[in-house]
Amino acid sequence: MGIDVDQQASLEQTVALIKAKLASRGVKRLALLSWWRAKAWGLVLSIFTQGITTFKDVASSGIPMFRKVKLPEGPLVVVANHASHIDAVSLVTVIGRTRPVLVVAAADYWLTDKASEIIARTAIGIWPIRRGSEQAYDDLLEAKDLVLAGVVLVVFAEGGRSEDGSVGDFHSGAFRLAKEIDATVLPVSIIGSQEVLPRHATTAKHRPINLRLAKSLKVKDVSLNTKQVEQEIRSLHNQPVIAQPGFGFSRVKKIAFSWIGLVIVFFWAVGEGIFWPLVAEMPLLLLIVTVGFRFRGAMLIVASALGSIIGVLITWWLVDKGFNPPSPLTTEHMFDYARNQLAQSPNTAFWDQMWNGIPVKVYAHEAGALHLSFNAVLQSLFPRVLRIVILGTGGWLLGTTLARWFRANLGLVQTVGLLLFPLGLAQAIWFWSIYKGY
Amino acid sequence: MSRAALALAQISLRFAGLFFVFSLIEAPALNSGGFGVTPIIPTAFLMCLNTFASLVFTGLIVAASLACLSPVVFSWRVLLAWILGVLAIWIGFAACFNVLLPS
Repeated sequence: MGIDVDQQASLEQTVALIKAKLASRGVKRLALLSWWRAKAWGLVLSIFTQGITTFKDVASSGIPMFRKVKLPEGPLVVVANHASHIDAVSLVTVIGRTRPVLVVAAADYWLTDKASEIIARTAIGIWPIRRGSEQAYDDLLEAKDLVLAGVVLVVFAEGGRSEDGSVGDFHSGAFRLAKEIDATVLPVSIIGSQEVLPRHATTAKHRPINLRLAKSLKVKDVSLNTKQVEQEIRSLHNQPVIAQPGFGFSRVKKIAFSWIGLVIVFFWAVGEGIFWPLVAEMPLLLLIVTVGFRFRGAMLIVASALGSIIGVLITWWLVDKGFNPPSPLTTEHMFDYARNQLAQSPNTAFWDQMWNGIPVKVYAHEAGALHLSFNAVLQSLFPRVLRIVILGTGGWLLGTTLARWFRANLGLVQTVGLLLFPLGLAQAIWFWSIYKGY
Repeated sequence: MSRAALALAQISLRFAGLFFVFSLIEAPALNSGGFGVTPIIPTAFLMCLNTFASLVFTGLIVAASLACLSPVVFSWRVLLAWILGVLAIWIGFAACFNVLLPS
């Protein structure tokens, strides 16, 4: 690999150091590290790819990335084909959720510069081997105590990444190790990683990755089993890559198309018009991005708009009759501003409410306090309905246009959105606690 | 320059470039009048996006810069990403605070 004598000596030292550190680390610690790595890579892969789907056999339906995959018990060596750097992180993502995992990696590739070494040691979790001689098998064999203690060892049996994505000839090291320690071998065919990040590429393409697990086996005859697994992985590799929606997307879509989705959207909007502090469009947007160009999208928008109108009218009526519903997360300035606007022109007031961050329940409350007529309130609600239609249609179109991207990582998008929402809400409340407007 | 450093530099530069372009359209959009006289919801939305983008940019640029330290190499991509990213954060947040801090 073009390294001089000094580099070779330094490499030997680094390999020895990494192995010693891994051996001294408890399996529990390795399991915890693997779990974190699985979570972190799951996040990265859900953004930059269409996610990983694992298939237990050809006929089965896939297991999405954020669900656990049941692995064989006891000492386990995973043997897989190798076409891309994505292969290692895909296996860490899937296996690391349930068991500690180390990926066998070439020291002459990963440990020759500091940046690659840091990524390999901390972000992936490698067991380094020195390729090209019997030394490679000795390095592999040194992992046996960890494997016996429960660490899953991932071996790319071709010994390197394939140039064109095809499955090459397998080396027998993983099978010799498995036979020596009576470990189970789990063959995994990785499909699609070549399209995501081919050899020599530096940025990933947004494509799906499939892991097809073959039947696990105990090694009886090393050369026979090596050939057998090689053939099996090659045959599974011919399966088409399937882009299956993630766990989050499937669950949300199911709710969006059920009556529960309509009820949630409707009552959320009713509640927001009376006392609920979270905007009516929140569940609408969460659900509508999954429906595609189907009539259900329009139904969800109508349910939200109708709920909002009813909520506002209930508040107006209650306040008009002398009962004040609670208004959490509002400020006095909001009420003053709304009252002034409504006193001047109810129509203009609700147009301004569209984007000014004052909850609609405040306007409904003040409309009741000013004893505006039913007709005046109903007629001025047009901007309120318009905002729901604009945002709902925007989410509907966005969800349909970016369906390929959302299918893999809607759960992530929703989580980020929900984490950022309090920040936006806090800004609106803060603004209206200092700004009077008049 | 190592493969990892090059990849991080490229990703950082692309992200910083997009963030910069996005930040340039924030102020005209908020002051266009299309969102009324107190466009708090669009401003709060942009603040959230800016915060998210700033966090992602910080993570990427720190990783890219560290990758350029061992071995020490100069990368015009990382330098440009730093400049564009810092300008984007400044311009983006300035546009939002201009609305959120009423005179």
